[in-house]
Amino acid sequence: MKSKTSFFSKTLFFNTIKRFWPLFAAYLLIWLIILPLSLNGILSWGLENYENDLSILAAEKVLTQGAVYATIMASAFGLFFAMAAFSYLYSPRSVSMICALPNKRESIFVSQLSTGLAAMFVSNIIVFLITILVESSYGILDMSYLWQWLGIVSLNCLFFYGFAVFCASLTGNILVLPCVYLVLNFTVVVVEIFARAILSGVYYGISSTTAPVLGFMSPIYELLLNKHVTEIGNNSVDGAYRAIGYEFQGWPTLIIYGALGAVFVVLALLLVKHRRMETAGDVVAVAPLKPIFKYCMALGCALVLGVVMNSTIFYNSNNYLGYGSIAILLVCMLFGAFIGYFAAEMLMQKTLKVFAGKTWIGFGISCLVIIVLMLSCEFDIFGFERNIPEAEEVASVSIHGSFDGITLENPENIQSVIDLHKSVVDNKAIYENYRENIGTGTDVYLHPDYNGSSSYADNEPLSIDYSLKNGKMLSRHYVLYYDATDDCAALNDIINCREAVDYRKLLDIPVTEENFSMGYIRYLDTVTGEYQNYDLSSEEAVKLYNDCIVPDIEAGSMGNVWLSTEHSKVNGRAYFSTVYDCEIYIELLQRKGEVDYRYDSSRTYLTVDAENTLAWFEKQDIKPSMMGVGPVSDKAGDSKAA
Amino acid sequence: MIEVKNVTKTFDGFKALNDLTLTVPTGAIYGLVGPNGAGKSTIIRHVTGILRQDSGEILIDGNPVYENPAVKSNIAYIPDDVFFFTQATIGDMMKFYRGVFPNFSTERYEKLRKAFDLNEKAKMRSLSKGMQKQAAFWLTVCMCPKVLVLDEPVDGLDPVMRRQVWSILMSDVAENGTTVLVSSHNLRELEDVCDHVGIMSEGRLLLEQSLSDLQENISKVQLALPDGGVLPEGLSILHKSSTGRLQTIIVRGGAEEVTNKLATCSPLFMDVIPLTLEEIFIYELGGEHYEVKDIVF
Repeated sequence: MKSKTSFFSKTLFFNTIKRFWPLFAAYLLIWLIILPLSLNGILSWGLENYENDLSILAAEKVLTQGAVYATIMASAFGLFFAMAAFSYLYSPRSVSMICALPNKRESIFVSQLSTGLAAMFVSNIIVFLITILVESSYGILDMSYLWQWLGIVSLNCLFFYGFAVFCASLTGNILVLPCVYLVLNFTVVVVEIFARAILSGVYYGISSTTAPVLGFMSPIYELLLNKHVTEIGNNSVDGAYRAIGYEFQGWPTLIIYGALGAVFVVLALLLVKHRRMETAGDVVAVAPLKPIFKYCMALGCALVLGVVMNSTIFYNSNNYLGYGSIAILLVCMLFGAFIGYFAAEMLMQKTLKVFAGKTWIGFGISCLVIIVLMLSCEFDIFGFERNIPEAEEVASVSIHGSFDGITLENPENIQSVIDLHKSVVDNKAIYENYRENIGTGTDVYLHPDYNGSSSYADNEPLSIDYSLKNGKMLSRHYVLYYDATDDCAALNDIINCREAVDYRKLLDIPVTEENFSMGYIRYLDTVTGEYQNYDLSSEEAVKLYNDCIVPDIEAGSMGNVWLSTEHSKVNGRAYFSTVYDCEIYIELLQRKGEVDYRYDSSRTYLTVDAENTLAWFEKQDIKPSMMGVGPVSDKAGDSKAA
Repeated sequence: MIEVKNVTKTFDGFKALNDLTLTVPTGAIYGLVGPNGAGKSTIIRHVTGILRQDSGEILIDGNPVYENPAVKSNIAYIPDDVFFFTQATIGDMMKFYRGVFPNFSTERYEKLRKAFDLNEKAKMRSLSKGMQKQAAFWLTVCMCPKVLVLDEPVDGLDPVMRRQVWSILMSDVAENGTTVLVSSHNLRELEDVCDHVGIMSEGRLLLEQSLSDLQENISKVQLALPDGGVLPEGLSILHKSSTGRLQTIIVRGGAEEVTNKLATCSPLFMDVIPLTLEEIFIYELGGEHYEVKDIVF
């Protein structure tokens, strides 16, 4: 007797719809409130109060808010719908009832899956149609935004529901399902943040504060926090900025996520098809995943609790640590591993009595892995700290710190950065010793004039990002101490090389009267002793920039940076004897048609060596004071911006 | 016919079924008995296609059960702990089963309404455990199955309803030749309805016979021996007790065979008493280290 293969059971489908209709209705109702009803409210307000085009108001509502709510709604209801549709998997009684029915597992899976999909997509279409009616009633129907909304919300639904269904197939416990779903949604970004925090403690050159680079593997984080909708604006003839449209730029990301959602559904089908139904009630329903779950819990808790305990109980900073601090961090991590490993055992065995026999072997393995990993990082077994590229391997290098970041492509300058990088690595022991001494309160460096301003700090953060010719990136982060080595002086030279100054100060848009938007000179007047503003006309700005500032920058007499007012010298001269308390600001706006435009601005400080600019100032009878003469509050940070 | 061939099933290293083989002939009412944890419910959940065996075969009329809707459409199952959808009424469940089981008979459902005096519009969860069991019987019989699998079916039913339910089952078997596999601890009732019995222990089948053969193969004899008299050798005695001179022995073997052997020791008095299924169960399992222990407080 061969069975006829059917992949859908109408009875199961409608039964589930009937049982969970309030949940499905809640999804529809919330979307109706979020979109068409709310849109109607804002448009009726806009009729009276909004000066701009009403369709822009609608577009903003549909696309900007629609995209955000699409992720929130799909991530929340995707989980709820999966919990409802696959609730039969979590109780031995319901499993027995459903699996004794004359249906193949594929058929049950597809029927149950379809309930959530149908509820989401039918609701989305209803919301779409009602929104069309609302927009039409105001005569501002713009289908392009509505189609985009439907696409965004549908792809979000496909991904999050598919992902939740996949999570549902991993566990046999309905209370564990939301935990698995949330953990897997954020696990990559959280692990990266905490792993980076720990690695920054043991590895010389890793920053704990860098934004996560693996955020795209944490869906809610990626779709919710990385705004994918941009406003298209325009400065109209009256000079006021107005939005003229919106553009969703997250399609590639969303399409990939949508495709992943489909992949997760297929994986879930395979898992459910081969699921041992006796796992109903178990935390982990897939046998091969049990050891993985246990060791991931151990390592995950080691990371999270290790960092949290280390920074709260022992108050260790997560920046680069010495041997003593690393030992404390390691103990914290092992304690975290203990909690994670035995919590996993308790959950899987459904008993608190897990401290006997073989379980300790697994915990021992976890500890060994953590100790080996930490020691290999601390002693740089993998050669991470000394991994510095050769100049010919580097396409460009960007360096950032407390100054404006620059990108260098000139081979000579790249070599200078590499030399500095090598020197910083060679000086690791000196910096470590210096930092430890500060940490213990001995020989703390504080400048006699220190007043809490960042200008008087004793160190300089430095981030180096190499873009290699093979397409890879190599990033390092260090803290340099002025008094410990000459590295800060070398850094000061690099950020004042011609290429760096040009990158920082020269404008990309031609400085013409047509492109001029606004400009002024703000200076401390020697005569009155007060700050004065001098507004530049377009004619003055063009002449000042092209005939004075650019030649002075090219001559190396303007646009330089002093890392520290006290420690740094540029061209052999100190900051306070070189820079005037005088800021020249020019803003440009280049229009290319109705919509497209470019914006750029320049902020430069007058120096005693800027012959051409000084001559222009003399003509205008502007007499600024030297930097440092004015009130202290006005000095802060100027050195980094000169 | 239900055929279970060398089925093994392991739960986290524990062998719930250990190379189990059993056969339920077509049209038989097969009582599956055994101590708690013997694996009765586990094999039932395999026979109904809920669980997948690690090894071995489970066939119904020669076709595998697992993932075979055609076979499963002819199997109806009442578990020990019946499951209904939370908000469902009997009527809702009837509609559900009618949509799933191709042989579901609405006509039979209507006919049986009187036998089960239940409020069809009441939520299942509001019914007592016994009433839920009744509802399960009502719906299950309407599926017109060729194979009926019951796990502790009358647990929770009052005596009248028990009799009613068994009566419906018996008439179903008589009319349609339904094959019934029933697991129960109530051996008295099984004895009344079953024609075949299988005794399970530790995931294995200790014995499987028709009830009449089983009862014929074990004899309970009361006898009194003369002074100095001893029981003859060669008897397979499962249990022995005595009150004064009167001895009661449970012996493996037919009544005639056993009395002939016992006659050699010239008993003063000898009588063969019919053996109940419960006694067979207890004395068979006694050899499997599951004897009734004499506990003194």
